[in-house]
Amino acid sequence: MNRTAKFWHKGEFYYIALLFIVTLLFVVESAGFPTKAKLFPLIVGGAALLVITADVLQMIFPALGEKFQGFKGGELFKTNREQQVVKELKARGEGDTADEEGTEAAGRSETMETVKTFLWFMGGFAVFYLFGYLAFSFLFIFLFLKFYARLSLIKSLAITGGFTLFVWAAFSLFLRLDILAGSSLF
Amino acid sequence: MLEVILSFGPALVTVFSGLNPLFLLFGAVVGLVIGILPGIGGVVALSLLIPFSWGMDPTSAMIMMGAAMGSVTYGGSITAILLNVPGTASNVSTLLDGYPMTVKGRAGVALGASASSTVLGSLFGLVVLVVLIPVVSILLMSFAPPEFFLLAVVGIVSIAFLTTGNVFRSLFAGAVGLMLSVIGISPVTGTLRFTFGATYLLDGIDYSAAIMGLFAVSEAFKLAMGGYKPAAKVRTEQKFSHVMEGIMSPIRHLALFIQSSIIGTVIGIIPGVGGTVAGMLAWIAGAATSKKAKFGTGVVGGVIASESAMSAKDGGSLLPTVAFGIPGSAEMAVLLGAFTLHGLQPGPGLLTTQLPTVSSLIFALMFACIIVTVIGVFSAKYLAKISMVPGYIVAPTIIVLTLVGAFVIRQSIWDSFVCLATGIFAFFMMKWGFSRMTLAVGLILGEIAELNLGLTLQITRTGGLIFLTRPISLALVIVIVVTVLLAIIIPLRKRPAK
Repeated sequence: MNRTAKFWHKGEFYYIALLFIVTLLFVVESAGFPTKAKLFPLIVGGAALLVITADVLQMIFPALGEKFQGFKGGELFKTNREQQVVKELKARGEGDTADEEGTEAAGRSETMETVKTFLWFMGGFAVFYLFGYLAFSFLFIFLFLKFYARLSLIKSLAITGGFTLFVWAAFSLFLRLDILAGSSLF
Repeated sequence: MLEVILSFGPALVTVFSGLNPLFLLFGAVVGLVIGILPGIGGVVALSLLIPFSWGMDPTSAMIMMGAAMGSVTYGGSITAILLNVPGTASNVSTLLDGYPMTVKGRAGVALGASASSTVLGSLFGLVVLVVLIPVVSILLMSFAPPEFFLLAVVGIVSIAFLTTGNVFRSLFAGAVGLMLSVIGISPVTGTLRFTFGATYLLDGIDYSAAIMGLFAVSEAFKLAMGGYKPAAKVRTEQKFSHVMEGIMSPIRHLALFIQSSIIGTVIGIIPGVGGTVAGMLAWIAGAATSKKAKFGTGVVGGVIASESAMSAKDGGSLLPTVAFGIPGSAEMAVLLGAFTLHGLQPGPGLLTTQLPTVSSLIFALMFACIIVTVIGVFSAKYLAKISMVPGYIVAPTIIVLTLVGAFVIRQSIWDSFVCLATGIFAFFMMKWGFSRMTLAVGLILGEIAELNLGLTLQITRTGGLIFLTRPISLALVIVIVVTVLLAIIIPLRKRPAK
């Protein structure tokens, strides 16, 4: 297992653990509501706990997971011919491009890319929150293209300008949105 | 049946009155362009259109969204045929014969066949829909709270079991959707739940914002991380005579066309099974029944089978969506969100008093197919160049459109935050095999399910037994049990012996 696979595998475990805890808290909190208000959340939360526990067990005990391999969605419509076609496509080097194992360096890069993309998007939201939608459109797209995608200044400005004009026309002219809408500063 | 046909007149007038033709054209062009861009498909197109539909009357909104839905698959076919790159996941089956035809210098035939199969397939699916609406309407009249509650359960269970992936995770995603729907004021008692003192949460999570996040922001995340590389050079020589030969080909292969359209429509009606399965199954069935041509080597039959099934699927998947509120595909889950935003409640109301709106949607879907195929056939070579736009340019534009779009609906910055947060959450869901569609369905159907469960328990003294004593409820329970059993037994039987 390379570094990427290890990271995602570990990340997957933490993700599911987090979901489990949140679901558990949901059930505990629901139990405190009046009878009629808690019935539905308790049923849903209970069912969610049950299935997530089954999934966690599959992860902890891989042998159990293998035993339940048949318990997989979408199998009803899969035919041997379809699997054969997918194999042929892969052999032709086209079609399904998913899940190719990368090298160790690619693994590090994927992890970094995930964190970087996440921070860029959160940063974009912060700009929206502070300066409103039009500034968000211009700044986010320009900075993203210039520094994340590493496009030239001219190209970045041209794409940003054109798109911001479209956003302004669509939201301010057509949907009557104030250009500072969303801003907490102005 | 007569009611449905009578609604066609006003619907046709509506589609061509006021600004509606412009909305139709806008939706069709957005669908075509997004269909051409590899890596994103109908769900992103519809998600991006949700904010633009805000402020429109429901019928205009449905016209715009129906147009996008009708055009997106054809956009994906253009790149599948010319570049060997499926614009949407569904177009994989078109690529199998479409691209080899381009290599053989018969791109025009493939594009022509794809165009006419798209239009005729779509028409076939919509005719079936029109025929089935009255039947379903009668059935819906005998629905009461227990049946409506079970319908929500059927929706989540069938989607979880019929879509590809880990069933436990798909079911869990559905439960997360239901859990999110609980936030806010209880529809049964008026109790505040999970609001944590925030006034924003009193009305619950905004469906539109969450759906845009689930389907568009998560895709933008993937694109930004290099989800697809721009396509290579377009290679095509289109002769007009070839295009005409292609356009006429579904007529010459009528049996194949009808067989594929039936497969597409039936697959469309089954909740959760999308265009990819429809196209692939029709292609496989075509390959099995075709005696002369060898599918996969660049024969026009492969393109006809795949395209007609994918287009016929739209009509089929509209049926469970408008009648029961159970989306037939991921695109329909987004459409369901748009219904909710515009106050359209799937079920008896939509099929009786709001029937003209449904008919307008049907016409928009049909006209959009015609518009984009005409545009596509004559400018495919140029349109295919859109697919050369790299993902890192598309991603930030999607983020801006969705976050601002989420804001516009209720003028709340927290809706944008919900949109972003659900998008990031959904990116990891995709990464680890949790179904985004079941989450969306759970979120949309949650309130209806809870309300109807509450009403059911008020009208009965037998508790849960009421679900087994009413004929339709019992049938729905059987549907749930059979779906689960089939999903378990069939893969076990398919597993080769060691």
